[in-house]
Amino acid sequence: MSTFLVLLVGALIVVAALMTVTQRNPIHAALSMLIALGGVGALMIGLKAHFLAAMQVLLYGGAIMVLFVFVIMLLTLREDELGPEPPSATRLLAAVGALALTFILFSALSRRSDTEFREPDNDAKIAAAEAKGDVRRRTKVYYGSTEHFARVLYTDYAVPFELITVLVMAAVAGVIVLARRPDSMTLEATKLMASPAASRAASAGGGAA
Amino acid sequence: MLASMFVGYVGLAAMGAICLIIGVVALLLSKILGPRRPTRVKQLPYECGVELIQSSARERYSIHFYLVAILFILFDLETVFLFPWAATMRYGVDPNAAMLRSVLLTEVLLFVGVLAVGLFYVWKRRGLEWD
Amino acid sequence: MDPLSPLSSLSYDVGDFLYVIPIAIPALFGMIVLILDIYLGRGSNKTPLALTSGLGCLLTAVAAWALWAPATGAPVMAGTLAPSAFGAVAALAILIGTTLIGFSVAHHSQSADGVGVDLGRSIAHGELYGLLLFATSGMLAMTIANDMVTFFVAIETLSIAVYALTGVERRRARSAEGAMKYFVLGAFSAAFLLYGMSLLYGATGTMRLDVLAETAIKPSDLPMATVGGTLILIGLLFKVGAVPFHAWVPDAYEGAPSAVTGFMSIGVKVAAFAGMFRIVEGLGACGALGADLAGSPVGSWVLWFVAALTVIGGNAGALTQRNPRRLMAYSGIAHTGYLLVALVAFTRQFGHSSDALNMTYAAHDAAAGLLFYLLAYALANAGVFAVINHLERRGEDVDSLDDLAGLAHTQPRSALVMAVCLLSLAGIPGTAGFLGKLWVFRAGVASGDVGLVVLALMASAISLYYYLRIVVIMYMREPQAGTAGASSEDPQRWCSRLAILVAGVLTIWLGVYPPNAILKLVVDGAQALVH
Repeated sequence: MSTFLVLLVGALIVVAALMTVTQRNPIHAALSMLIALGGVGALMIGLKAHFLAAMQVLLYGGAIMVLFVFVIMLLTLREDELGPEPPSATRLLAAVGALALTFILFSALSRRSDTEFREPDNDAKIAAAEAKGDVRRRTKVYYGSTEHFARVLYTDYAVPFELITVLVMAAVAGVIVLARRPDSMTLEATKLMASPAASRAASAGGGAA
Repeated sequence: MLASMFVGYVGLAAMGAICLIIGVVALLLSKILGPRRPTRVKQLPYECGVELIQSSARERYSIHFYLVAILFILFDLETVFLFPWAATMRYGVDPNAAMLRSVLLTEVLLFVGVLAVGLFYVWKRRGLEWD
Repeated sequence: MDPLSPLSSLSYDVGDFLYVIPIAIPALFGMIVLILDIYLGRGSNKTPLALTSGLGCLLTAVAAWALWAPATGAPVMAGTLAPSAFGAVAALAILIGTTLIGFSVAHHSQSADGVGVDLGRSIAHGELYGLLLFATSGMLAMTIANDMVTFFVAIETLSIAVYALTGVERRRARSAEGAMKYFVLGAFSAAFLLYGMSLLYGATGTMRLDVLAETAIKPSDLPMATVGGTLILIGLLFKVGAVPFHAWVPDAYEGAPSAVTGFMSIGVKVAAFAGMFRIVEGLGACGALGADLAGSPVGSWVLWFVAALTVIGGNAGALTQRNPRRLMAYSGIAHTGYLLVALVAFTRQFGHSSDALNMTYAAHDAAAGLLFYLLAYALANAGVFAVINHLERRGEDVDSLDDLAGLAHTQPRSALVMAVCLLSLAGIPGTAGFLGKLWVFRAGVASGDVGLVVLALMASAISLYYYLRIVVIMYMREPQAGTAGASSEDPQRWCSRLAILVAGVLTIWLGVYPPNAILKLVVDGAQALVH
């Protein structure tokens, strides 16, 4: 039954991913990608990686998708602005490249035995503790659970965790400098340029800009 | 392993299915049973009671939407990192391990502190205003 | 891990946080600069920003020297960092770039007539310095990162900051174009890097580089590890601008403001090369560079070809350039090629050849040569771009080599430093660049790559043509009215003149009489990498 579900979700993801790259309408492509992202989230739930699944839905399905849709909204390419279809030789090359990559990855992955790295299943221990009425031990720290993730993230990976704040600060400053409307500094400049004397100075100084 | 993957989610799937059925049935019923007397006004698109703002949705929007969206994502991403911390601090950390607890607390305070500086900066740079 | 007992102790020593200080200082100062700029007000004198970030860099350099240099390279902070003299030297090179470039743009927003608003260039100075410092923080983390998660977060921190910096002059179409190209291709390469890392993790079960180096991969997992290693190398070769992955370099360098171009050409390259050596050490030791072929792993032969292509491509491309930033872009690609020679020599140790001891010596030489080369390259590039920044005031772009005509007559000191730095890039004896090249090429000869070294030598002979052409333009031609080269010294711009002076003096000093402290640090750094 569950194998069937995995296969079903997997097939859904593959079909949605294919539609993402084949759909001509950008909104349709974005929606197909949403389905693929949701499917990956479902697989993560199946692997009991609940936090990752939540991240997948919140960040990818929610936030990243919003960005995609916004870019499409900002550009709103009409049919005639989409440009010509890529020549069939290019598409053939792309298909060959994709197949080659699939083959390489498949052969790399399929030669693995999948018995290692599996943490001992702690469900039995946890169930026993719960049966004894041990209320304090409510954390189910199995491999990949939210608690396990937290333990690793906040102790072992303290440095990258804090480094992420630097990354986000860089991104915030970058967003402000790139997307903020011309602020009053430029407004001052515009005012100056409105007066004839300053506009001469501006054209002399800013000719290269 | 595969056999037990989704066992806990039968209830969720059932709820999803019921939601879907109710939605479809409700729409179908109103389509079949409801009387239909269309007028020009009734057939206008409904935009929260406001009159139609623009005739086509396929127009270029201000870059400002994007600024808001990307700022939302950045702060959203930061908040997501607080969930596992909250999930583990109550029962997952030994209450007697004072050093460990203070380090964990400092870590998150630092994280939120930098976030606050970022928010202050965006605010002061008038990134949150719509003008 | 016991699933039922609560977490009761830290997985590392609290004292390990000391090693994080050099990474934290630039981030802290970045935030200070961002907030300070808000209170300075618009159109005011932005020198305090340059001084603040300079102070931050100075403190960072002291902290890196004091805290990282004595460390042995043993993993700390639960294995996420491995501070050593290697990281300290790379950090110094990066900080040279940040400080000198930061100083050289200190007066950019001031116009001579005192209006205070620069009409031609609308660079947001707070963000410029803030992003420079955030990127520096990521770069420093990259030089001592010991696991792939830290490494990736660090490389993304610096990349995002540099993407934004490239487009910082957003009213210029070319700046936006360069930023867009850099961003799209950069995101693509980040995906390669991340995919490679996850495959490598799948094959080895570890994210830590020191553990990776001691892992014996089972034959059944080797294909996955090799594919992972290849993808990681592609991602990193993109970052350093090696030829077939160099297409973004000229456009990004040309589009970005000169200040940012200078910073990019130094910081990103130094950090990426330092990180690449560390990752390649892990990859090679665990066998992910492929099976042996004529005594060394297949990976080092692939890198051999990449190095040869890069040396040829960079120098050939630079010959015809008229725009200084594009010229420096191709020059940067050529220098990537020379540094890849060191990388090739470094990877020879992972083969099972008959003279393993010699190969270890060669690897040691390669790591030491890399570090010294990076210092020399950082100084020379900082000098060239400091002069260009110094000339680019009030929106006068230095967009053509002709703009530099007659600089020796109008601003003799700037022209002299520029000439020294260009000669150092070309590798003329008496400059730091010569010693760097000598060291790297010696490693190449020691590892048996004589052919590659001869190719690189011929290419550097060719490079003399385009470096000397700039010197000739500066010294032999008359200044043309209206160009940057025709304007005389501006006594108020002491920050940028200081940066130019420091770059010139240090280039000569390192080239003629390199101080023992630096040499010891370089050798210690190599020792930390090659045991």
